[in-house]
Amino acid sequence: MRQSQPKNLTKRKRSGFLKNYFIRHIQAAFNSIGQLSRTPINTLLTSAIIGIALALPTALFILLKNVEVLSHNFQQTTQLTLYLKPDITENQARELSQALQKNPNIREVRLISPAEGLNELQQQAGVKNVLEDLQNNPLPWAITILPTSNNHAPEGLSQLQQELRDLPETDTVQFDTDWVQRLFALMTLAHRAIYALSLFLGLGVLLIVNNCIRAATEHNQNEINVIKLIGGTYAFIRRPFLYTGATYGLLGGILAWQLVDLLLLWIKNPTHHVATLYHSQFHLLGISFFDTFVLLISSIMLGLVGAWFAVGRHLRATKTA
Amino acid sequence: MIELQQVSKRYANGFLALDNVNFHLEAGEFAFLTGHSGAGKSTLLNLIAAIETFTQGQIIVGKQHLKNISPRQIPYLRRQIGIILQTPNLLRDRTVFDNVALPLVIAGYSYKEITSRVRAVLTKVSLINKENFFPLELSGGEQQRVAIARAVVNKPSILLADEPTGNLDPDLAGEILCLFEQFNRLGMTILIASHDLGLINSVKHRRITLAEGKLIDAPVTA
Repeated sequence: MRQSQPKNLTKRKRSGFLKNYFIRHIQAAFNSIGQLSRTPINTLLTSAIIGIALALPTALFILLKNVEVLSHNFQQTTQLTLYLKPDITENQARELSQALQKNPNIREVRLISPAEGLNELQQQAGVKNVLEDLQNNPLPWAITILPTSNNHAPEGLSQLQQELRDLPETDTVQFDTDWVQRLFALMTLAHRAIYALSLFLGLGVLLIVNNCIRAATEHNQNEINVIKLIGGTYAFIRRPFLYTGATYGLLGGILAWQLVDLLLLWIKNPTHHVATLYHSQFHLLGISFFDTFVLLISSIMLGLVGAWFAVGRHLRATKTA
Repeated sequence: MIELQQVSKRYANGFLALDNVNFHLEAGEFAFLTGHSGAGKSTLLNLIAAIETFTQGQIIVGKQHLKNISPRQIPYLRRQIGIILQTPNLLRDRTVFDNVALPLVIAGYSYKEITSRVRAVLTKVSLINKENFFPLELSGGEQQRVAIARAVVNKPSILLADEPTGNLDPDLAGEILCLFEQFNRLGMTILIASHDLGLINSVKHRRITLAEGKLIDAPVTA
């Protein structure tokens, strides 16, 4: 018996190492799923806590993504209006508008004559009566300018605005960059806040899983001791707990995903209604395949890491047993 | 197979459990470790299985030196050693079959191999008709036999038993001893810690006696 054993061992190691490895993992996975399904309420409650903790930052991320799209839409329609000095003639105005057309930072240029300007003004209610009293047209030549889309960041817009203001023909440049700058500042702030929130809640999830696995290791103390006594490696002991942690993470992640989906479904129609009222083509962005993937991977990783620390600490604490 | 060279064990509280112990157990030997309670029998077995560490000397099990053994090597050492304690230490939520199969699962055997080996060993300990029972449905003697089956299923070269018959009546103790002798005949090195002199005297095997942490005599009786 003694003589034959080492031979068998090496033979087995060579032929079926990978197969054994998978068998052990499958055994551990079934073991942990079995344990979880034996305490369904506990499992569901833990997963629910994780799910809610993850749903909050996920929902905020999706919301922010929508705001970004919306702000991009706003900026698509951003235009600067250049009012030329009153003594600028039609020819000078046309030359200028042709020159501006060649500026790489400008996408579109439209020249507006004083007559057209007056016409446009008259379209607007309330002003009509006032304008009718005027003897001659007081409006100067004007040029509306749409910046190229890569010039939508506040810095680019300010620079363009400055360039236009410095032109000798310019009287005033009308464009309020303040709100764009404010929006960008707010979005940067929101980004940071959501990252911080995700960090805290992720840490919370880590602690929840850690606590659950710690309780499980204590509950299974006898089993762990027996396994140690009959030659189970730390990896063997750790494996089912890692699967348990990962399963908590996965269930929590799926729940978070479904919660966010539900939330988006709930606000979809009202959002569309609001968009229609503003004549906007805006459609609410859902949680994409990539977002879901990232969410599930992070939740599984949080579960794994939480479990790893819990079992590691337990094994260190009971080293001599 | 098991060699102790000037081994001493002092606990953190200063108590000297083993004092300069020397002995050598050849492969295939059968020996009793006797002495009063507190003489250091359990400590000695724990040192051989690397459950506890010793403070001086060297222990060699097979080819493995246990001084400064790394934690990574301990599981592989224990797979060569079957360990039986006074309490069977079975997992209550698993059947007899699953309890006995555990060392094979740990060692990564295939399901087919596990089944045939577990059945074989359960037949040997006369529990083949109870493989689907749970430990609490068995008597004390049966539980101890399950523990023995679990200890030998992986065909270890060494079997260590710490008062394996301590909770059993003399008839059952005799049966268990019989089992150990069968394993010994197959080549297993066996070391049994016991203070049951009636049992020890019923068979002729080497006897190692400990008193207050010292080895008094190790006569080899054939």
